[in-house]
Amino acid sequence: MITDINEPIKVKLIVGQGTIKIISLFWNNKVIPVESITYRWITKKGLFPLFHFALSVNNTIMEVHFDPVKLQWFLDRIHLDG
Amino acid sequence: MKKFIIHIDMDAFFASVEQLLNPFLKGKPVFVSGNTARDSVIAACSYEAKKYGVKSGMSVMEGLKLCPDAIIVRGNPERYIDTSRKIFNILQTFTEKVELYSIDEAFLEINVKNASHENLKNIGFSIKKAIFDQTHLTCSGGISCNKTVAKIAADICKPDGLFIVLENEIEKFMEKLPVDKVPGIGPKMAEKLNLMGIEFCGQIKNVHLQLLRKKFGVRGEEIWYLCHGMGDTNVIIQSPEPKSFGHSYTLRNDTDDINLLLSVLCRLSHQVGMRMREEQYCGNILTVTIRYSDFTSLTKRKTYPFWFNDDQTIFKMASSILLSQSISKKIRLLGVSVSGIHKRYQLSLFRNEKREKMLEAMDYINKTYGTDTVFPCWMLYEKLSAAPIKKTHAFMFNDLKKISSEITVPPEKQE
Repeated sequence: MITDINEPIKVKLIVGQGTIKIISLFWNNKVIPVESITYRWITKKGLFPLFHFALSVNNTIMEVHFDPVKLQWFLDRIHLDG
Repeated sequence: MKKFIIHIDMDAFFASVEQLLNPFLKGKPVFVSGNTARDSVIAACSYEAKKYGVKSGMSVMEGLKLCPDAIIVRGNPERYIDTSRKIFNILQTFTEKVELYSIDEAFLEINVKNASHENLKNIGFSIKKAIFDQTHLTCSGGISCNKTVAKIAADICKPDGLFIVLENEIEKFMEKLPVDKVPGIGPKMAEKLNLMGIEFCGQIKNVHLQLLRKKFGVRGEEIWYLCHGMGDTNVIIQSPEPKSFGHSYTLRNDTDDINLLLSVLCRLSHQVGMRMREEQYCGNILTVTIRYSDFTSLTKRKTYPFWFNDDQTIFKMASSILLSQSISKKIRLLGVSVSGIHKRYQLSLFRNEKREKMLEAMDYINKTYGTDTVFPCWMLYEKLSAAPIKKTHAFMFNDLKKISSEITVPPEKQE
């Protein structure tokens, strides 16, 4: 089951060598460690790109995206049937 | 130099992307659908589901009868479009002549000095490897002298295969191929051919071209050539001139709510108008397609004595067509399409320049900040009915109508 969230979140990450490594998410007053990025893709909102990531987190998959215009990360949805 | 066509077809593309995204789906039967409702259609299914006889295009309910344990995943077209773009970029590193045939299929044209199986095999496997290394997705490849045989070759070696048919092997290859495996011959046509005693492509040799032409018209002639393994050898790099601009939408739930239907029609008209203006086309034929809950369809087409590409004009005319139909059954799908396409300069001399400037500004905002940043008010009804009800929705559509009727324009200030 996929649950839509669409909420702003905070993300701890390492950027370097042309790639991003997401370490943890901060959501609902909790720090959620990220195991791995399972998929990444780019969409466009008008002229601006949105960077999407699917993250493996404690037997679930969380979809997040970064909006470079708003300089904000968002938690889009959670795949609960992991 | 010898010219060859390579057909690359991604294996269960949407389902494979979903399995990569969510590794817990790996090895499990997966249906990818527009939504998870049982009456929606399976856009793609994983190979684990295909083993049970599930096919793309089946309804989710039909699929679940064959494979009750399947996991239904809501598809995400933007994800597939981005992955498809990545694959296209990979293919372009091998040759400039790449034709994107569909979101998960492409034709490549290569010219080789050494037309041996071994050499072509190396080229094919290097393409497959590059795709896998960069996307972790598998694909199947077919290599031959024309698109038809290359596509059939890729189809028969699925998943993750590579099949090469050289020019002198085509006749033997087609001999035992069932006619329904030929792209362009659907189940109904295959049935008609079977009744004529043609089950395999090789049997078409015994049938004269004129007989097929007499029976099926131009289509019969095409079938004759296809079954002989003859096909197009041109890889089309530039997209041809459009013949029409259309959008259709399958509703989340079948409905007879006229406000919702008009709202969807407004969005479709908006999308069609925006695309036409972006590519600088206008048209004079409007087609509205209605599909009812019992899968019967109605298509109404009207030709107008003027050219148009304005959302409002399209919406007005489309809604008058919709409203002229008695909506006795619930509606499942709506479609709007404009044909009779010409370049925009042929628009009427009596143009509404003020409105054109407004549309130009609206298109600019939507192009810069994203689709639906500015949209016609009628679309709001669909947006509000689709969204979960939140307190932030200050008003629903009826309130909006009430508010709009209460708004009075203040008189202009006298200076």
